[in-house]
Amino acid sequence: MTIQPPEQPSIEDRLTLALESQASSIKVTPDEAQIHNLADPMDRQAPTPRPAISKRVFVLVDSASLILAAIGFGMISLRSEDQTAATEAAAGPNLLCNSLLVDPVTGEPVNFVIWIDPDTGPESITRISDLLDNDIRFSDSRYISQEEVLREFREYYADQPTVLELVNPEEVPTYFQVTFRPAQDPVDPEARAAQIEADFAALEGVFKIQFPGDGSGESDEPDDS
Amino acid sequence: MQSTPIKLITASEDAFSAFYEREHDGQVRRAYLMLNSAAAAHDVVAKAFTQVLRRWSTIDEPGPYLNRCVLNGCRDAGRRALRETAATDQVRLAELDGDEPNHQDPTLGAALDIDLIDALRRLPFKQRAALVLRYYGGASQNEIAGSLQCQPGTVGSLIHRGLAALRTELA
Repeated sequence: MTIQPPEQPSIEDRLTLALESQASSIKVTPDEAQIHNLADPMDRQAPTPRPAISKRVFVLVDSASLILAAIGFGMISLRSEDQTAATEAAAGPNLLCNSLLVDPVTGEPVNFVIWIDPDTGPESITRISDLLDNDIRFSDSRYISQEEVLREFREYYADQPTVLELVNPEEVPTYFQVTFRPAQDPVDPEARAAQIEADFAALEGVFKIQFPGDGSGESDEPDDS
Repeated sequence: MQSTPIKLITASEDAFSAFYEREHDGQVRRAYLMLNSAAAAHDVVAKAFTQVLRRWSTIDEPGPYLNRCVLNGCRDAGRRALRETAATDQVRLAELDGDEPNHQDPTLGAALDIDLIDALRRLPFKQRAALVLRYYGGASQNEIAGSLQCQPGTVGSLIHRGLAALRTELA
């Protein structure tokens, strides 16, 4: 009697088992040593050949996004009578998205924003999301939904009801916040931006791609040029 | 007049405590699967609960909100580690934490599918998160979409591509 070779488990079954095993290997109650390291657990072991962008910068980036969105809202709402709202809204982001998104050490962009027309359908958004997720140049992309932008906007302007009245929820712009994968070799930010423009600007739903330093105004980029 | 708010606060705290008890361990395990670092997982989950507590009185569904906070925390923690290790060409998070039971432990080696866990770790964040949510905890497509803040249609695509990438890596 021949022995049948064991059937190869499906990748789904294998993944389920692997995740279960891996998850069960962690102590869910942190021990004292871990508690002491909670403040910044990653910093403990990670080599630091390149100074990291401070958490503060990313907080500022988030704040900038909010203010930027707020200006976008205002402009959209004020001009919502006509059909040029989406185009005009691009002027709003221009005012603020020119700073805070650069690595303070290298002066190079660490992320950028793809603004989406408020009336873009879910298929177009999914398509853009898929392209970003599959693009090796990017380590992360996050779609900031209308609901999320609106919620944060309302919190941010909770004490300014007149500003809130300007917002038409249906015309809130959404955007993708895209983070570059750290490059192993020096990159030419302008060439990289041009390539991204070429790849994404013409996609349905995209009305603006915004990089650090776009438009007028001050930039956080170190002034060493 | 004074008793009402006190009661409300107490009831709210009780509710949060119960919520914490119910969710904590599962969230830590899930964060650990995303980060492969026990300390980072505990940190991310603790911060996420803080975010939930801050908005406890205003959110209708704390569960999905907590899921989003934890995943966002995982993404940020992973991104930070990625940046810090970029110049050394060691983008894997695997060795960040040396004090936890992982595949370095020979007694666990037989049980853990090291190749698969490593391959999973190399996937883009959203694919990895979608696979963890689906195959650890069995979240539905809509639940995953809510947690990842993406369209439900994207979830199927993320899982499909994630599994395909794992098959390729393990072939």
